[in-house]
Amino acid sequence: MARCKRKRLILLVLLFTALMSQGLQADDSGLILSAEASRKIRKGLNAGFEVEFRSRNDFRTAERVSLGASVSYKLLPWLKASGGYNLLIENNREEITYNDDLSYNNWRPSYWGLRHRFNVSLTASYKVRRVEFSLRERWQYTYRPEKMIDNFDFDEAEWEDHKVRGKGKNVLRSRLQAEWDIPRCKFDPFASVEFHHSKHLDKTRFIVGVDHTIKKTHDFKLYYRYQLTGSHSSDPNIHMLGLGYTYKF
Amino acid sequence: MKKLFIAIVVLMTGFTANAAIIGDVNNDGEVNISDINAVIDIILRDNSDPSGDVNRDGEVNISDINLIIDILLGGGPSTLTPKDISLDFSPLEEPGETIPDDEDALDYGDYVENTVWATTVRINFDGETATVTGNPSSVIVNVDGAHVTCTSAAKRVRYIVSGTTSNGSLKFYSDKKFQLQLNGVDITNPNGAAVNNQCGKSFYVVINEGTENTLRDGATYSMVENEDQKGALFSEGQILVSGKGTLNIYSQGKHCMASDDYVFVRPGCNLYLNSTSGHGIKAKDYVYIKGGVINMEIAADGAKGINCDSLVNITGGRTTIITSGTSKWETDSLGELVSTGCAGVKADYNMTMTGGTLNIKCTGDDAKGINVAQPFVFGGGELNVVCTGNQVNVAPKGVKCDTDCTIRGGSFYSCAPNGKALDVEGTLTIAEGYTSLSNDDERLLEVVY
Amino acid sequence: MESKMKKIYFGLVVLALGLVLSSCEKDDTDFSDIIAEYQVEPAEVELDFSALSEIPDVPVTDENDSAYNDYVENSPWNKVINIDLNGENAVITGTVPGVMVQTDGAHVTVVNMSGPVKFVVSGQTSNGSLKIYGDKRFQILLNGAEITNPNGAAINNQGSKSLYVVVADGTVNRLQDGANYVMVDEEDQKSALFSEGQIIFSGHGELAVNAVGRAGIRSDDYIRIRPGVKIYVNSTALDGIRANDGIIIDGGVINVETTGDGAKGLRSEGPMTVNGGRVTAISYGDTRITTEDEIIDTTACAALACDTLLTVTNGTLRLRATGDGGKGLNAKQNVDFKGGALVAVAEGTKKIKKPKGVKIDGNFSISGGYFYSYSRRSDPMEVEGTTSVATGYKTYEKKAKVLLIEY
Repeated sequence: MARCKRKRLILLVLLFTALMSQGLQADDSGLILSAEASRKIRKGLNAGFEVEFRSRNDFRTAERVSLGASVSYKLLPWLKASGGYNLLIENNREEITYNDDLSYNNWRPSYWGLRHRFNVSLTASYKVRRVEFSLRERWQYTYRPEKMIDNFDFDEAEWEDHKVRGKGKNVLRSRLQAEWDIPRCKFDPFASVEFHHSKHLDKTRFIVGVDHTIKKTHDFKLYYRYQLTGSHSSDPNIHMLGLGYTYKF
Repeated sequence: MKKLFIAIVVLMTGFTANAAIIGDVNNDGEVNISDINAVIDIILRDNSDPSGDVNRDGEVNISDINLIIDILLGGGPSTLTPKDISLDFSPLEEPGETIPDDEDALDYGDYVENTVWATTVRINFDGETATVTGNPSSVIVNVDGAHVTCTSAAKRVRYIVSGTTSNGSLKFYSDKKFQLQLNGVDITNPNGAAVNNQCGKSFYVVINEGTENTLRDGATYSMVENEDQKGALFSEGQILVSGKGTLNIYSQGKHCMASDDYVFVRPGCNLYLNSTSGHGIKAKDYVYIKGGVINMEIAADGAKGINCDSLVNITGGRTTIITSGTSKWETDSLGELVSTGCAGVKADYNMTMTGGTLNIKCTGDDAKGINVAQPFVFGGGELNVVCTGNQVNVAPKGVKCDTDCTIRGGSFYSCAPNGKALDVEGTLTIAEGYTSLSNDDERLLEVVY
Repeated sequence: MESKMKKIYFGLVVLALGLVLSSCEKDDTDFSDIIAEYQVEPAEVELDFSALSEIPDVPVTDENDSAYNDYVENSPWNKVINIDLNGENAVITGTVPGVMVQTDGAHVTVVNMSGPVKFVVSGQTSNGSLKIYGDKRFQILLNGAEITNPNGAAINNQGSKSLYVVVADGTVNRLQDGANYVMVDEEDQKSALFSEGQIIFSGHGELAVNAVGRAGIRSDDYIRIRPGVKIYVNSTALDGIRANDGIIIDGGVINVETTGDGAKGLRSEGPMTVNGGRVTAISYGDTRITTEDEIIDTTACAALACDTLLTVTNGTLRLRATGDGGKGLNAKQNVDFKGGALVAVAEGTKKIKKPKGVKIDGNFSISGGYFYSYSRRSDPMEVEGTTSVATGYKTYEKKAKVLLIEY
C-alpha cells in the first residue's frame, strides 16, 4: 500500500512539475480547492453543497469562489441525472484597449462580479473490469447580471462608470471520464477529458488525478487539470492543481 | 460897332494872355530853370499860387516841378492817349471744356465733376437764422443765429447754400475735400469772412447757373487763435471755381478771395471782386485762369488785383482789373520801410499767358500793370495794360519783369504815359513774325501777331 | 498508517490553505503612475485683480521713432473739452475751434478737425455713448465714467489716428454695450469700445468693459497697453480684446473672460508682443459650429489667439480654456519665448475639436522664462513646426499632461 501510494504520488508530482515547468512561460497556473458535503436523501437521490476556491496568475491571485448546490438522481443503474445551481463570485480580469496609434485607450481594472450558473446533466456509465467509463452531458446556463464598474478613459483622463450588461451563456459540456479501482491501493487514479461547446469549442479540459476514499465518508482528490483554450479565444492555457474534499453523509 | 471891336480885342488879349505856355510859371515866355525856381519859391513860401500848379491838379508840389522837367526834356506834356479800359460784364463766348478722365492725371482732382458727391447738406439763410437739412452724423452743423459752422469727418460732402443774411457766415472744418454750391446766397459777415474754409483739401466753389451770389466781409475781423482768416472768401485749401452763375465778393476788411493753396477759375463763371482793403485774389500757390468773366475793382493803396506767391497762368476768359490806389509804405522782412505800389497782377514766380483777354488799368501813382519776379512768357491772347498814374516813389510801369520777358504771339499792348510801358531787367525777346510793332519812346509798346 | 495519512492530508490542507492565502496579489497592470500623470491637477488660473508692482515705462523721445506717437506724453493737451454724462443729458464744457460736439440726450457725437484734443469723460448714464469722427489723434481721459449704450458701442472712434485711452488714477470706469447693435450707414461698430485707429491704454485707474452684444475692445489697427492700467473685460458673445494689426502689452493688470462659443480672450491678427504686465484670460465657451451653404465651419475658443508672430520677453500670461476644443494659447505662426511666464491650461472636452494647452502652427523657440502647458485630454503642447529649446534650463519635464520648461 505504501509502495503504491508513494509510486502514484511521486508519479503525479513529477508529471505535474514537468508539465508546469514547460508551460509556465505562456500559460497560467492556479489552484482549485473545493470542499463538498453530500447527503443521501433517499435511495438514488443525493443532494450536495459545495464550496470551491480557484486562483490564477501562478497561484498569486484569487480567481473565483463558488458556492453551489446540486441534486442527483439515479434514473437507471447506468444513468444518472443531476441538476444544480452555482453562485460564482469571480475576480474578472482587467481589460486594456488601445488606440490605433497603440496608445492606451481604456483600462477596465479587475473587479469582483457575480454570476449565476444553472446546470442539468445526464451521465451514462459503463464499467469494464476495474475501469469505469462515464460520459456526462451537461447543459450549463450561466447568467451575468448587469453591473456598474470603473473604467479609466485615457482620452478623457478620468474614471468613468462603465455598465457591464447582463448576459446569459449556454454551454454544453461533454466529459468522458475513466476511473480505476485498484484493489490493494486506496488511491484510485482517474482521468477525464471534457469539451465545452457554445458556438464553438471554447475549452478542452484534461484531468489526471488520484482519489482517496476513507471509510466511504471522506473523499480526497488530488489532480492536475490542463485547460486548452479553443481557437476562438485569446485566453492562455491553464494548468491547475486541484485539491478536493467531499464529506458524504 | 466900336464896342464890338474893343470887346473882340479884349477877348483876344485875354485869350493870348491865357494862352500862356504850360510850364512858363514866371511868364517870361520861356520854359526854363527859372520856372522851376519859381515853383520852389511858391512851395517854400507856402503860397498856393495857382500859377505854380503846372499840372492843374489843384496843388503846387513836386509833381509840378517834375512836369516842368519833363517839358524841358521831352518837349511837352505827354500827348499819349492810352486805350480805354473799363469793367466788362458782357457774356463771353468760351470753348467747351474737356474734363480729364484719367485718375492719375495731375489735374484730375481739380474738376468737381470727377467726384461722386454722396452727401448733400442744405443750408438756407433767412435773415437772423439759418436752417440746415441733410447732414449725417459725421457732419455736425452748429448754427448760432445765422453763423453756421460745419465740422465734418465725412467724405464727398456738398453743401448747397441759399438765402440772405446781413449778419451771418459759413465756416467749414474738415479734412476731406468738399463742395460749396452757391445757389442764390447773399452773406454779409460784419465780423470777418463770409465763407471761411479751414480744411486744407480741395474746396470746390460751384456757382449755380442763373444765380447771383454775394459775399461781404466786415471792416474788422475778429480772429480765432491759430486760425487764418485772410479774406471775405477764405480757404486753407485750393479754391476751384466753376459753374455758370455770378459771384460778387465785396471786401472792406481784407482781401476778396484768399487761398493758402492755389486758385483755379474755370470757364463759364462770372466773378466780380470789389475790395477797398486788400487784393482781389490772393493765393499762396499758383493762380490759373482757364476761363470765366472776371472783373475786379481794387481801391486800396498797395493792393493788387491778383497777388500770387507762386506763378500765374492765364489761358482763357476775360479778366479786367482796375486798381486806383497809390503806393503804401510798409516794413519789409528786414525791418526796412519800403513802399509798394498797386499792381494789376503780381506774381512771385513766372507768369504765362497763352490765351484769353487780360485788361489792366492802374490809375494810381507808382502802379504797375503786371509785376512778375520770374520769366514772363506772353504766347497768345490779348493783353492791354494801361498805367495812367505818375511817379511819386517809383516810375509807373505797364509790365515789369525782374528777369526775362518773351513776347511771341497774340496781341500785346502796354502803355504808361508817365512811366515805362515795358521794363525788363533780364532779356527781352520779341519773336519774329509779328504783323505790327509800335512803340512811342518807352511809354507805349504794342506788338500784334 | 491512518495517522500518517492524516498527517499527509493535514499537510496538504495546510499547503492548500497556504496557497489560498497567498493568492492575495492583484494581477492588474500597475497603471498608478500613468494614471497619476493623467490625473494631475493643472495649475490654477483664475482672474487676478491684485496689484502688480511695475516699473513705469519711459516714453520714446525720438520723433522719428515709429513708437513716438504711442506715448500720450508726446503730444500737447492744452485743448480740453469736458464731457459729463449726466444720466439723461450730457453736459459739455469747453470749446475748441475746429471741434464740434453734438449731444442727443446722453449720446455725444464729436467731429474733431483740430488736432490733439483731450476729452475728459465722467458721469454715469445707462443710455448714452461717445462717438468721435475725425482723423486726428485725441485723448479720452476716463475720469469716473460709466457708459452703457443699449444700442451699440459705448465709445466708438471712427477716426483712423491714435486714440489714447487714459484711465485716470484712482477712478473706476465702466463701459457696456447692448445686445443688439443699431448700425449706422457703413460704419464699423465691432465692440463696446471700438476704434478704427490704434488704441493706447495708459493711466493707473480701472476700466471694466462688459460686452453683451459684440466684442469687448477692438481696434482695426493695433492696441498697446502700458504699465499701471487695470483692465477687465467680460464678453458674453464675442472676443474680449481684439486688434487687427497687433497687440503690444508693455504692462498693466489685464483680466479677460469670455463665455461665447468660439470666442477668444485676446486675439491679435497681427504680431503680438508681451513685454510686461500680468494677463489672465479665461475662455469658457465651447466650439462654435456654423453651417453656411452646407459647409460646416467650426471655430474653437482660445484664451489667447495670435495669427502672426508672438514674442514674449517679460510679463505673465495665464491662460485657461474650459470649453470643448478650447485652447490656452493658439498661435498660427511662430512663437518666440524669451522670458516672462506663461501658464496655459486646457480643460475642455474633445467632442468636436481638440483642446490643447498650447498649439503652435509655426515654430516654437524658448530661451528663458517659465513655460507651463497642461491639456487634460491630450498632449500638453502641439507644435507643427520645429521646436528649439535653448540649453541652460533649470527644469524640463514632459509628462502625459504637463509640459514644464523653466530657466
